[in-house]
Formats: sequence, structure tokens, C-alpha cells
Amino acid sequence: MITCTYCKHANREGMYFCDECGAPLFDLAGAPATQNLPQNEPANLTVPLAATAAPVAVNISNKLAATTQLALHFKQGAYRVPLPAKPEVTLGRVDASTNTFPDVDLTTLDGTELGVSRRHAIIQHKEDQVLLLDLDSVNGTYVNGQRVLPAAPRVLQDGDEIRLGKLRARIIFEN
Amino acid sequence: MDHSQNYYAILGVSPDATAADIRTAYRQAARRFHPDANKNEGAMLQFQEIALAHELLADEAKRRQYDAMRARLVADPPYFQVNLSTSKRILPQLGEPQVLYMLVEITPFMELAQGAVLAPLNVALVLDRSTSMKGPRLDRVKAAAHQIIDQLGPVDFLSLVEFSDRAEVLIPATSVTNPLELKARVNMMTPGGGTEIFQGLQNGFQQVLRNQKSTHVNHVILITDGQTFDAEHLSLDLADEAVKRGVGISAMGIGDDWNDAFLDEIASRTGGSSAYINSPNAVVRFLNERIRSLGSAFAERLRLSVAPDPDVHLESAFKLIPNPQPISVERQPLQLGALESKRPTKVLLQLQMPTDMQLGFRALVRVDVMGDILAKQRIDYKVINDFSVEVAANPAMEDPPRAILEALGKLTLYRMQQKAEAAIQAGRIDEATRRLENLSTRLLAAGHTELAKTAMMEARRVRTTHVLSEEGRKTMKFGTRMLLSAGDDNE
Repeated sequence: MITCTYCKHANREGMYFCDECGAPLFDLAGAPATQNLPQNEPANLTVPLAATAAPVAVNISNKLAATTQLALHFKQGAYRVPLPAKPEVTLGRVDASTNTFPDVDLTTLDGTELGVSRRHAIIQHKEDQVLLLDLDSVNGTYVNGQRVLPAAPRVLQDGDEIRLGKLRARIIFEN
Repeated sequence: MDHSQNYYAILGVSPDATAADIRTAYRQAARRFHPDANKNEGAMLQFQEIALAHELLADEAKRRQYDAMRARLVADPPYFQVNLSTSKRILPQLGEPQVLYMLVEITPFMELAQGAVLAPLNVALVLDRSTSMKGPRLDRVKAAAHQIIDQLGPVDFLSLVEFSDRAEVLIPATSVTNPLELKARVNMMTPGGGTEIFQGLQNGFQQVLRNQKSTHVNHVILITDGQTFDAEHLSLDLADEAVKRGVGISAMGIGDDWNDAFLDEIASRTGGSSAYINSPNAVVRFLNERIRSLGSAFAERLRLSVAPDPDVHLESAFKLIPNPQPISVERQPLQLGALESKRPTKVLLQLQMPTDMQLGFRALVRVDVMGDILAKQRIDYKVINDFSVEVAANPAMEDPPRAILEALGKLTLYRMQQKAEAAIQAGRIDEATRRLENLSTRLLAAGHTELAKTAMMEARRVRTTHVLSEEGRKTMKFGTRMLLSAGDDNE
């Protein structure tokens, strides 16, 4: 079996792309194939996003359940913001003039100065995974230093560093 | 009995083999391909050939007669070659099943292919004139038909069938000597009525049969914009009949209302191709491309027969180029259509290997490719390949061939879209949404921004409405499929 590092799907031996999410399996499985591909490959070759963004699972053993409480820790853990228990939590800044009321308001954490958009990102909490979606924010969303593209939801692991513009946070799965 | 076939090669013995050699070879081959031992669809076909070869060569009188016939035949020069490669050369011995990919590349021999002239065509255009074709669609179809008439000459045969609730032969099969008159007939098409594809196809097929020749590319090209009102199985039966008579069928759908699974199946069974034309303006380009591809045929009626060993299972087959097309593996031999003189035909096979294989070399699969070499009037030219792999306890990691990896990367996108569709049909909305989101991620990573956007929009739509839009669905399906040919066109 080859377990996809991206979505954890168990694939049969000999496969090169995950049956479930399409992520490349070859370099993750330890085969030297990817290193040998030229770096300046033209865009039409499937450049594996997940391969470059291979999430180093911080704490895989940490059990994630529908009841797991998610929290964002800001400023090196000085502020803890528990996420409301709903399937989709929006992150951003409250702006009454445009009728924007995100679930988590980051204004008081210097959101404006640090470039957080009014509607910046969404954290989806499904039973077996937590996803981060960028809402086409001006200054971008990053996980462990890698950009989360607007159309490309990203699986979050316990302890991942999230950056909204220049505002840093850490996602913690609390049991 | 076809004396041009090399029954020694089919049995896997040399022409000076003794009776004992032949007996041994037959027993070995029977162990691999006898239907009692091997449940793979292609094995049955293979075994029939082997049994035939054995019957002939084991009988001394018949063998002498066959040898004498062969001596009189001029030996074939190699017309095309078949190259097989697998994702791994050395397989690990595992206590679990593993997947092995095999790339089949069929390449015409250069000297022959370079001097090749355009293949003569025997084509029926079967054109939908139902009410929904009114306006730009029918206008563009007529313009496309005009262009095709201009491209054809006295050696080609053309017929034109229009259909709605019933079919009418506007141009009975004729050589193209008076283009002006033919164009005038095209202009007589007027929109009106429903869509009954079978009527049209049947008439087109009959027109092609009138001049059916093994030196020609015999093909029906269907253009429609709607679901058929008659029973689809009639058309599918017709497709099977067409293959037997050496006629291919290609199908093009305009707009969003036609049944792509149905047209795909027709194309897949006959070695034709299917295409999605999203704007009337693209009709001319698509049709020209199809005619160009058919006209550059070096060999026609290319058939691939895949007979894996008894413990190996053929899971899927996909034609990568030309004209990317999934091919159903339930029907052997697999119909590949025309082999173009300047482009190879490539097919990717997915095989499942058994658990706990013995160490050492083992037979994997027998792959036959048959085709008619048009300019040489050589019917049923055949290349036989037996492929073996090595199994080792702990083989060193090896790089999968670049060509296989690239094809798989693109094929994965197509498959993701197909799985999302299947999930929607089964009512698994969460799964479908997740698959579409994943697809969008992958498409974006591969730089296909437009398709990625479509996938994302469709993911949202599915989450709220539980269905895909027809346009989005077809855009994703044919869009991801076309990615496969994108890289190879400039070879």
C-alpha cells in the first residue's frame, strides 16, 4: 500500500498518482523519480502541487473527530481563539459598511495593518479532515510558508502554521 | 485459414521446429491462454489463434502445404513496429496486489511512411438537421461540409445523409468530381424535426458499404446536437456491425444536450473518435481535423489484442494519441482506428499483478497488433509481442519511464472527473464535491486555470444543487481528455 501524504488514501502498490485526490505518489513513496524530472519543466506537465507542498505531518496520531475543538493561536500562543463549532468558519475583518461579518474577526489582532482581507479565508471542518480555503484574498493565505491558491483547498494538520497576509497563527486540534 | 499469417510465430516456434517442439509449445501456450485457465477477455482470442496454428502445424501434410504456400509469398517488409514498455522493469515480490502500467507504442516504419500519399477516403457525413440545429449551427455544419468537399478528389468517395425524425440521403456515395454540384446539394439542408440518430447512422453506413475497400479509409462521421429519440442499442449494434465490415464511426456533439457516453461508446467500439464542440464556429475546425487525421492514415483498422497471463488482470485501456479516447477492455480486440503516417499511436494499459509472485523472470502479456496497410494493400498485417518482466525480492527503486508518468498525470485528471460524475449519479454528493475540489487543485497546479475554475464552480454547484451543469460537465470531460494530446502534437 502507498498512503497518500496529502489525503491519506491507501493506494495499491505501483500507482503513481493518488486514486482519491490525484496527488503524485512517487516522490512521497520514496522513489527517486521526481528529483530526476527537470526543474524548468513547461507548464503543461502536471507539476505536482502536493509534492512541493508535501505536508510534513506534525502530529498524525492526533485523532481528529467531528467533535474536536479547533482553535487558532496567535502571537506565539499569546491569544487563543476557539473556532465556532460549525462546518465552515470564515476568517476576516468585520466591516459594517460592506455588510461583512466573518465568524472570526481579526481586526483586534492588527488584522488591518497586517493585510487581512475582510473575507480572507474559510476553515472547513469535516469529520475526518480540516480544510483551509483562500477566498481570493489580496495578500494571500499560506500554510507552513506555502501559498494556498484560491481554487485549491488545503488539508490542515494539527500544529500547521497559517499566515493570513502577514498575520501568523497556528491551528491546534484540541481534544 | 489465412496463409499470410505466420503460424510459427503465433505458436512461438521456429519454422524448422520438430513435431515434439510444436507439441511442447502448444502445451505451454495452452497453459497461458486456455479459457479454462485464463479468464481475461483477450486470452480467448489468443487461444483460438494458437489452436488454429497447432492444428495446422501438427498435421504433417497440412504443414507441408502451408510451408509451400508461404515460400511463394513475398516476405513482408516491416510496416509498423510495436514497442512495449512498463512502469517498472523489475517488480518487487509483495504480499499484496500491485499495479503495473504498460505503454504500447505503434510506429510506422519511416521510409514507408515518409513517401506515403494521402490515404483515399470513403466517408459518409451524417448530419443532424433537427429544429435545434437552426441558425449558426447548421450554417457552420454546411460550411464545414463545403470545405470537406474541397479537400476530396476523384479517388475519394463521399456521401451525405441528413437526419431528423427520419433520414434522407442527400448525396448518394459518389467520387468527388463535381464539387459545385455537391455543394449545392449541401445547401438544400433545412432545419426541422427531432433527432433519430440510428436512422442517420444506418443510411450513412450503407452508403459507405457501397464503396467499401480495404485500400480506403471507410468512415462515418456523425454530427449531432441532441439526444436520440430512438433506442440507443440499435446504434450500438450498428457500431458492432460496422467494425466487422471495416468501417469506423466518429461522432461530434455540438452544444450541451447530446449524450456523450453514448457517442463515446460508438466511437470506442469502432476505433473512431468523439469530440465536444462548444461553439458552432469550432465545427469547421473539428471536422477538418478529423478528415486530415483520416487522410494521413498509413494503416487502417488497427486492432490491439491484449492477452495477459492467467494471474494478471487487464483493468483499463486508454488511447493517448491520436484522438485521446477511453477504450472498453471488455471487447477484444481493442479498436484503435487509423495509424497515421507521421504520428505514433499510443495506448496505456493498466494491469493488476497478483500477490506473492515467484522470483525470477515471468511472462506478463501477449500483445498483438493487426492492421491493414493501405498503400500496400496488405490486409491483416500482424505484429506479435510477448512481454516478460522480472520479479525480485528487493529491487532497487527505478524511475518510471517519463512518457508513462506524463500520460498518467494527465489521465489522472480525466479519471478524477469521471469519478466525480459517478459519485453524483450514485447520490454521493459530499464525495463528488470533494473530488471536484481535488480536481480543481490538480488542474490549477498543472497550470490549467480555466478548467480549474470550471471544476471549482461545478463543485459549488454540486454542493448546493446536487447536479453538474451539462456545459461544465462536458467541458471538464473533454477538456481533461484533450490535455493528453496537447503535449504530443508538436512531436
